[in-house]
Amino acid sequence: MERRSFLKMSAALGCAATVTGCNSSSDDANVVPPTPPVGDEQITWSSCLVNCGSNCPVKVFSRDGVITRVETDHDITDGDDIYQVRACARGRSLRQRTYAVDRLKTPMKRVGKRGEGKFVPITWDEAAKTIGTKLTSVIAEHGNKAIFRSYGSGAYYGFASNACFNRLFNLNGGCLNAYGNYSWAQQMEAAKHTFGTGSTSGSSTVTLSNSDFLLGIAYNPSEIRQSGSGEGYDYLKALQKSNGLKVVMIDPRYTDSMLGKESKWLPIRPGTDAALAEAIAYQMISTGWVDANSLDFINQFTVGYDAASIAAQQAIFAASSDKKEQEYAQVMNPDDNYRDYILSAGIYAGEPLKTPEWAEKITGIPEAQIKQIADDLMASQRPYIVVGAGVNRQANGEQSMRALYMLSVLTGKLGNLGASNGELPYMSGMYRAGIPAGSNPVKESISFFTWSEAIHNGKTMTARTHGIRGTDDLDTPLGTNIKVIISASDSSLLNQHAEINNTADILRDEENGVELIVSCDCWMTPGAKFADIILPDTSWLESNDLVNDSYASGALGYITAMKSAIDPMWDCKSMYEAAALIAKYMGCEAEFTEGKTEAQWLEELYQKTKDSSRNLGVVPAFPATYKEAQAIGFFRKNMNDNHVAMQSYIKDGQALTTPSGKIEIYSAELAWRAANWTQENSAQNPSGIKGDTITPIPQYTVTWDGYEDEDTKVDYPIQLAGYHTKGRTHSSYHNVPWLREAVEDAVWVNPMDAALHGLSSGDKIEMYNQRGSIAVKVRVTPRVAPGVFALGQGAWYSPGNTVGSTGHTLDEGGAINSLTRYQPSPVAKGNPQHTIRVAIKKI
Amino acid sequence: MTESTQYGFYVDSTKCTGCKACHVSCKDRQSNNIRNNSNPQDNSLPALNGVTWRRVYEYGGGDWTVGNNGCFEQNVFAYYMSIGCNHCSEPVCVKACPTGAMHKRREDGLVHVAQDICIGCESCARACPYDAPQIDRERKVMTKCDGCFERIAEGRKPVCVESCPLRALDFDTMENLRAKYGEGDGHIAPLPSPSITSPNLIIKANVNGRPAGSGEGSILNPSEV
Repeated sequence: MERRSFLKMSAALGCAATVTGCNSSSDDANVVPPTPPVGDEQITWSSCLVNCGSNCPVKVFSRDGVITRVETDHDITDGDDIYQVRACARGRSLRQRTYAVDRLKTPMKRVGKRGEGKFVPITWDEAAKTIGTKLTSVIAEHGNKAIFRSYGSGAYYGFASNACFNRLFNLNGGCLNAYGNYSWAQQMEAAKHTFGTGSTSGSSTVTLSNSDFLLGIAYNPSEIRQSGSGEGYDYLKALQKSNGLKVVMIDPRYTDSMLGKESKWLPIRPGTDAALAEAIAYQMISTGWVDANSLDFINQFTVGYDAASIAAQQAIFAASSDKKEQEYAQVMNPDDNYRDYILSAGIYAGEPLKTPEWAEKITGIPEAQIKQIADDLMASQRPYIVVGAGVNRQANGEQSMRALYMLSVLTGKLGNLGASNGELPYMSGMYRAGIPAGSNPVKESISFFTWSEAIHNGKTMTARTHGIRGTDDLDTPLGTNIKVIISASDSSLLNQHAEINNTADILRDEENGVELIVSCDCWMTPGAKFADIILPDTSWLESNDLVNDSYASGALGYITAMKSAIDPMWDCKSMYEAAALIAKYMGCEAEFTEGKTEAQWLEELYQKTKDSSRNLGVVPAFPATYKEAQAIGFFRKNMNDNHVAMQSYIKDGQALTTPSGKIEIYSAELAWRAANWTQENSAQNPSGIKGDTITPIPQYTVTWDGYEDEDTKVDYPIQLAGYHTKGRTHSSYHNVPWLREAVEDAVWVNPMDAALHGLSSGDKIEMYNQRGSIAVKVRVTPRVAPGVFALGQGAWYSPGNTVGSTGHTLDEGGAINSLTRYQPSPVAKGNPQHTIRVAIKKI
Repeated sequence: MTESTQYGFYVDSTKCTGCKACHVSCKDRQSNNIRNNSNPQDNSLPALNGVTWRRVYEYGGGDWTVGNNGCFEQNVFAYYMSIGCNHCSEPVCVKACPTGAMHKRREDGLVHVAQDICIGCESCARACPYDAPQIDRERKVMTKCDGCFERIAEGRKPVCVESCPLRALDFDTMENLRAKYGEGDGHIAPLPSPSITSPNLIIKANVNGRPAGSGEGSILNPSEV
């Protein structure tokens, strides 16, 4: 559009438009009067419950049963202690999402093949009876381990959450458990085996203003935590307070966490972070700096830097009466130590030196810049190192995370205010009681990521092969395949799981695969199309519920007492009602409801929430009843988190929960797993899947589809970096037109690559690899590294009628998981969904 | 209100992360002003693609080289600029309007379009260097940021300002804005020189900010604005 180009043109052409300085005030023209308000507008509080880390409150305006607009929290003036919680663009689009054309309006059953999306309406009773009957018969035939509720992070309700289905299962003998998650699976293992933590015990964001050097690797709070009181808000405040802090950011993209807030952006190739870490470590060690400055710290607080520290710990374990510790002692090898590895000495003699020059070729970061990072770290008294979760979602992301965590250890500054250890910043939140799910009699759990494999191979999956937990020993199999899946507020069923075409094939197998798939959601998602029965959930704005600020919501904690703005639309029911109705057909309705109404449940949960000591000092004070709380709507308090990573250990002497009680550079547990777990790539099988290797010390590993993977480099020359787009939260909100316009789904292409491939902004390309093909628009931008394309994840899979370059149906929706690989990571059995190589073709 | 009352915006481009909360919250309000949304349960809400009263321009540039060892050197920069209408003191849209539909209100300086007089000729849109007039093709009538005058009357700020998660926006009389923020840092690209229309817009410049009229960068998100 010509008009549209004007602002852009005017900038380039130096403002060609001219105007004389006339008085152009049109006093005589008709003045449009304000639209007079109609009827009585109601205001109720609701909340955005997606999985971004914050659950922002929203103020819903409605009239005569119609939502008229959505605003956010303006009830107080911003102060230092408490301030407004402003929803991002997603929360502000909630009216359109609530009234979306693809809302599920009535229960339905499938009439075509799975995935075809052909359904007919049925009654709630028929749906609940079908599900209840099937659950009963599958439990009788296959046991409770055949029942599985898939992931489901799309709605963080307190009361009518998808935990209601677990409550139902647990009243009937339980269901298969899952551990880990799509966000942090590998870093949780990495942190556990290094610091004895869960990967979110880094220093609080507020302490950043006490630091003298911020090294952020894939750290991007401004895009992934957009809430107007969340981590992105805290990050900006801390940086502005710390005026002049040196900020070095490592990322393949020039992110919105930079935009001038950084001192230096160093673009890096995806999956090569461990090589960068090792070159920095090489500088710190080979120059003698560690010996002179941090060796005392390392000797006192860590295991694994050198042979002596491993031998000493080995002797302690050998003398232990604990069987597991004795086993650790048997597999530990002092020769396999960090110092020798980094300096290519001892058993690592002859390996290429981990010099900055070595790393420059791998990472793309120039040697001089790597040396500069090392110099900055060595000069810093309070180095705040933080590693975003993008690093952990790579092939062998466990080792990349551990390799980066090492830098904080080498500085010897851990425990000091302003320093951090590489983990995500610690954040607490307000307490809210949730629906009691009961206890699950089933002890076994699978890695969350392996559910699709457990549909056909659950019978034989073991701890040794698949990291199954809760079985008697390494080789006792899980023993059952998954036969029923309830997918509620969930997109892991297809869109957000790796390798969509593979998943779709597994789900299509009605004969030997899953016997019943239920989708309970508000919208016809790509996964819902694979359901046998669809249950239409009520949306947030139609719900009464009790929710808190969620799991990564910054310094401010809060509670929203949600009140439905409008009655449930069409034939929608909450997940609580849906599960209760199924309970009726399984003969446990009374146990499920305990005879309580929704209002009674909410009152009970509210009273528990109200009386929690964690919520003391909330503003305003909690009123006596839930009904009164709903009238007020929103309650907040600053959690005053001032956590300093590792301080309780370093300064206060509280032992860590690692096997040694120390920071484990050399992980005893990983040494044990390396000796006992199946790895696709090992000394016995050097040609197995590259990177599927467990090592006790962190090591940069060439992985499948990584930058240095020679096998795929020629056919698929481009590294594809997935990222969290601002226009969705994972796949949530994809179906909202306002957001699709505001945040374009287009793959970022560096101008050098655009020239190489003959691409311009707006071109449509096919991106493909062995696993699938997607159609996407191109955006040429200098904000991404050459050789790397970047695509916002979470767009909805939408197969068309075209066959792509590798024989797979072209996904017109551009879901990145059409291209990702189902290959559980070595330690966590987690998701490597950022390791992607592709080729492209203009279409 | 005195005759000299003139409202305007303040944009802090050191804080803006281009999150689009302003853009989308404006759409939520805007859609009620230009469409009948009384039965969204049956009709859903209009997409209003291409009719965007507040737009967030992503401006950036820089050069790349790849060295011998395949390593990167670059001087990339980027920042965002959120713009609705600047309710200019010399509104070229008003001057360009052949019917008088586009007019500047005496009482508050807001530039409004009288839709019953507008003939949809788009002269105003062609004249405005900020893309403020946004044609509603379905109704063949011009629409634009109206300064949320009904909220101002209630003592509120415009919806975009109150939506901003990072508190990068403000709106008030220019007198009050100047008292609070001074004259600002002058306008930066992709904004044109303020001499064209005397916009009522105070900018705090991003450290990456390039001068107004600079050709160093370009708008990186043309389809979003």
